[in-house]
Amino acid sequence: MINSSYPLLDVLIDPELLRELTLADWNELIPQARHALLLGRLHALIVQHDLSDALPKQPLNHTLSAYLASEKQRASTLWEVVKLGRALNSLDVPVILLKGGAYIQAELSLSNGRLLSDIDILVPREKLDDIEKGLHSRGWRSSKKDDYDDRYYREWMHEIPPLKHITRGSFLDVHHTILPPTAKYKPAPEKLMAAVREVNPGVCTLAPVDMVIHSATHLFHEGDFDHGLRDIFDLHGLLIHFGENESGFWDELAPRAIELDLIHPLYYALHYCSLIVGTEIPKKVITQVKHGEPNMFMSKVMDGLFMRALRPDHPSCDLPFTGLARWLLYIRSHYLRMPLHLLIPHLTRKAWKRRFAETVEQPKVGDTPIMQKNKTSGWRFWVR
Amino acid sequence: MTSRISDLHLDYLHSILQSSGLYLKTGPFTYRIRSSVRSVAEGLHLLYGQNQFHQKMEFVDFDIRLDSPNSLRRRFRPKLDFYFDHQTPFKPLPLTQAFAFLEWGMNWCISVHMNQYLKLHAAVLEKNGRALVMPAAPGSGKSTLCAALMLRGWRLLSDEHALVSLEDNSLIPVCRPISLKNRSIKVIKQFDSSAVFGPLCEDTHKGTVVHMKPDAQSAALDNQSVKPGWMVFPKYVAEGDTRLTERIKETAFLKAGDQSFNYSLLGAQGFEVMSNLIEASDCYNFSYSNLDEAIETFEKLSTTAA
Amino acid sequence: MNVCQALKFKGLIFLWLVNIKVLVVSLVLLYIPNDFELILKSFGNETLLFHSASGDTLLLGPTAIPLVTRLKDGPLEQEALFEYVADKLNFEVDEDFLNHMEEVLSGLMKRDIVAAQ
Repeated sequence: MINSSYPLLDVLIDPELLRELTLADWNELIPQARHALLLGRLHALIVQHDLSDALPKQPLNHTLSAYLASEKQRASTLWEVVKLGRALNSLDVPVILLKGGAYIQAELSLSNGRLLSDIDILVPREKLDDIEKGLHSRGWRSSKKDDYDDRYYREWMHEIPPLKHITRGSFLDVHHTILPPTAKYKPAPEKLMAAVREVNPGVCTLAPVDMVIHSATHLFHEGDFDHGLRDIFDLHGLLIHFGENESGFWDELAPRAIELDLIHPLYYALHYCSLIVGTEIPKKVITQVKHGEPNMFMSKVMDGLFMRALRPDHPSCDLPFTGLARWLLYIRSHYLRMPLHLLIPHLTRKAWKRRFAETVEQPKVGDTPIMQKNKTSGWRFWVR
Repeated sequence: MTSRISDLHLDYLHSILQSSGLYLKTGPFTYRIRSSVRSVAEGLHLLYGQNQFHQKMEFVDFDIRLDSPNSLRRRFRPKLDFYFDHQTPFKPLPLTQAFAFLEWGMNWCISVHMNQYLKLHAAVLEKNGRALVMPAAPGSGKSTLCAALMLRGWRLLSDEHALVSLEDNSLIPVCRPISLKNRSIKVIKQFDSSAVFGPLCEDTHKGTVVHMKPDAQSAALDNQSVKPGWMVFPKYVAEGDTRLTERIKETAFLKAGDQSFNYSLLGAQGFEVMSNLIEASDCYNFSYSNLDEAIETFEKLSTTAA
Repeated sequence: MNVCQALKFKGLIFLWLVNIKVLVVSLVLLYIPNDFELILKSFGNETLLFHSASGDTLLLGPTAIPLVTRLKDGPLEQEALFEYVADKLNFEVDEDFLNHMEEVLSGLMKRDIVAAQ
């Protein structure tokens, strides 16, 4: 039986339930999936389960449209990786792909229909300057025009600001660690880099356990819950794929997280994958990650917050206090990322900026009014 | 007996727009439109009057709303937001631009989504069972030409979007009002006094904008696709001669690609469908200043088999 | 001839160096990377090329067309390739032609359509 106000979760777990939907149900489902960046994935599941003929055509135009966009992103990503390979390999640095880029390059099925916004790579810190110069000479420039934002990345987060390619328009995030040096937990990037897997000459992904741990850290530490549900399904996909195809994966997972000082995010990842999607985790692993479980009170608080924040950012999916939950987790993520004396001025400035939303590049074709970048949910509580 | 939107009393339409919303089908797309703004009701009543009125439609492609963010703002600084589902993709615009904002928003819905077609920014009309596609570079005067052609008997498919089916390369209609700007408003009024215009929107980022009602023929055939016939790249040249010249298809292809919303996105499939479109179309450059002469040229063109 | 004697004949040395360069260059094997599909389409005048890897669409000029179509059949040394093109288009293989073909080739390599081993 489908939850008629939140059908997205049910159909992603069991696509056969799509047969039960009325056209009116699709009116709920499509916007939810679109907001959650899961519309393309929905299409991939429809095709995979051979449901196209059984479902109404009009809503499937929307899923197909998103899927076509994701296929373009796949092709563009693969090409970007070729170009990156040339830029970095000349400096004797492999391209270590993270997140979406890695899923595409490794041809994981969870990348099917998945929508991403940029490419993330991990590089050795000592070569950061050379890498930035090398990328600059091949057309990658800082996308931050604002001095403050530029400083935020370089001085406080010790990162290169996100880069944009001048001709291809692609975005690139260059990381030398998976958490900022100012953060509470300090996973050693050298350990991750030592364990990478080469998928193509000069192009690598993290080891399977590290891919899961990184995804968990990104979701449960970074505070970006815009696409929380998508990230949960990514984690679910990774766990299932590696659980079935990597021998020793389940045995190594928790010990590796402990070694990397990241047992807490791993605990949350397994806990919420199990709770939301029903991922089957071996009992032994559940016991091992209990190291990362907060006390009983905090556990209940976190459940209340995450079970709201991990829903699609769409009013039809909101439970009472979802706005507050997102805001609190946003604050938490920044607290985990930087000390208090930096946090408060930073958040104040961010909130101020949000009132005067940035303009987005005009589309080059067609007449439209000026576009803007803004969020309409989660910040209702804080700013307006 | 199906009722039309113009059969409704204006006040009743206004109240529907403020409550459950107006369900509007144009071409293959269903919109649900909500707005508290009176001029939006007036514009819809006039320019979409011949469209069928639906009490409710089961599935809606685009759920849109044009309203002030809150009632306080409505009183002191009347600005409107365009909502697509619960997002506001655009900066707010003044109340005086409401109807134009609605039309731009409705266009944006198609331009940004709906990748199951190859989409060009172009005017599309039909004569003798074949489609005329006019890709629209700025300053081309395509809307003026489009309006004039429709007023002289060409069937309007769209003045904004050429939607090419990926299956059979036919052009799919989305019959909606033609948007005219600045000088061309006067030109068309003089060209044909029977033209019906909606609310005038001044001081927009495009200047003065108004929308012209599609004729009955175009509205009636809003679900009939057309095979390609001609691709013409128009250019308005003040006091210039009327000139139609053949152009080689390879460069027409590239120029059409420049004016496409999703040619790149569709990758190899886009290349294939665009090839088919160009193959099936006679391609021309066209420059003009005199509208009557322009129409005459197109009439002659319409008798040539593609 | 030893180097000192050769210096008196600067022209000869130049020729000698040019010959070496031509010899080296003609040994370069050109090919189209087969991971990336190329789709060609002509409407009778010029030819369009779709490079599936980068998503680029290019207009190929009359000298580039036979170059690309020949390489689609398999790799070839540069010298032989240029001769093939000249033969196809009834051009003489003179310095102008070679310079032009170098430019065309360089453009295609920059776009990753053709690669050299």
